[in-house]
Amino acid sequence: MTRIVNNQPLAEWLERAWLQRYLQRRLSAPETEWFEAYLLDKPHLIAEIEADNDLRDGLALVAASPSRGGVAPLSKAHAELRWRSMAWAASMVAAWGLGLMLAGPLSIGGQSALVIASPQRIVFDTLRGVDSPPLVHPGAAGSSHVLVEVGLPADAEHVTLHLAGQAALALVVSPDGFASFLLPRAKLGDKPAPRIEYSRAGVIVSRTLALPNDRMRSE
Amino acid sequence: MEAQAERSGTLDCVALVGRISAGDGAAETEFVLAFQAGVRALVRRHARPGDPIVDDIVQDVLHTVIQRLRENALNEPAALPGYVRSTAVFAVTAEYRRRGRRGENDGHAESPEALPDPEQPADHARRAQLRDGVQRMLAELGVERDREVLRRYYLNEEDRDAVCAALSIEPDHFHRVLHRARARMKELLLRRGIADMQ
Repeated sequence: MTRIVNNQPLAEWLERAWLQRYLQRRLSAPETEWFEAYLLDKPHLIAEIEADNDLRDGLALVAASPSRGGVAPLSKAHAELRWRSMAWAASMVAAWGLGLMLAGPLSIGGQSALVIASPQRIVFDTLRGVDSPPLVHPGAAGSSHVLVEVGLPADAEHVTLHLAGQAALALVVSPDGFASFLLPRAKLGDKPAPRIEYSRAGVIVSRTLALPNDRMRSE
Repeated sequence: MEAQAERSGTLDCVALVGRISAGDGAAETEFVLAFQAGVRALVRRHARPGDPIVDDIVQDVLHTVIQRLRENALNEPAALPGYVRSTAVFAVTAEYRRRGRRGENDGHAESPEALPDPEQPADHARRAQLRDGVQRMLAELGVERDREVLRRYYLNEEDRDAVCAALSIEPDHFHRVLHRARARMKELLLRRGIADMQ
């Protein structure tokens, strides 16, 4: 559908066409983004969407109360959720493996360590469409690794991590929309900086992760 | 006049952003009145069905945006709706991410009544009303296949083509079922007075 770049009201027929496609989940991700911003201050559209929200919520409530004539269990949705949780767990294991691969056996005070408590966390948000600086949660002082988390659009697919001197690594997106990896602190200053790549509606999106190296070292 | 502009969706975002950054408290109220319902609709749409956290997230989003506008942190005032939208979507994502860390995500998507009780009688009443309304609507559909259309589309989140193929129905029939169901839900909304803002 044609994208309108300003927030001037659409013709009624065109607005209705957008609404129908939105409710049918047939807009692309960028179109959804645009339309959701467009409708925010338009009560007549909000009412239509709230009716749709109510329908979904009401069906879920009925499904949760089988004694009241509820609907069948959500076997497929549940299975999907379980699968995604498992896939996310697998991703975390892969991230752990990546940390080991890059840093060698973990060692703290000369003893092998199996656990890194409270690593520093760096959280990138790619949802806003701008390269905003990441949120940095300090974690334990002197942690040998940092946990990097990247928020991704809901429709992001084929997420890969590109590190200097390494082959691309596939990342699995968590059920709540984040790709994560554990990075040895010593790798923070490597050039080029880590880059995350994913496809969205068939378009490849690349984002360089500007890790706040100096700031972290000083903390 | 301003109220009329909001109703027709021609809110002057540039002026509003300028007034809020200049410390105009009335402009903040206008912002909330203009965007609160829309933010709530979006948060509900991106959250899990019936999640009682919605109202808290809506408050957080409005507070966050106002705070940023007070700090004059929005470079393009005309992009205010887009900024509000992104903040709302991100807030929902962040909430489920936090729950994921606490191991609270699994099993909630299909069990809204098992979620933390907000202990608000009005909310309980609203849920009961919603459930009863949907049960009546399902009964009115009459044909089991039509009920299955709704289950697959809204609960299993199957897309239109998959639903049509699985149930051997035409897209036109699919749309008629959804249209009727939404129309009934809109009647409920109007009865509750939520759509009075129109």
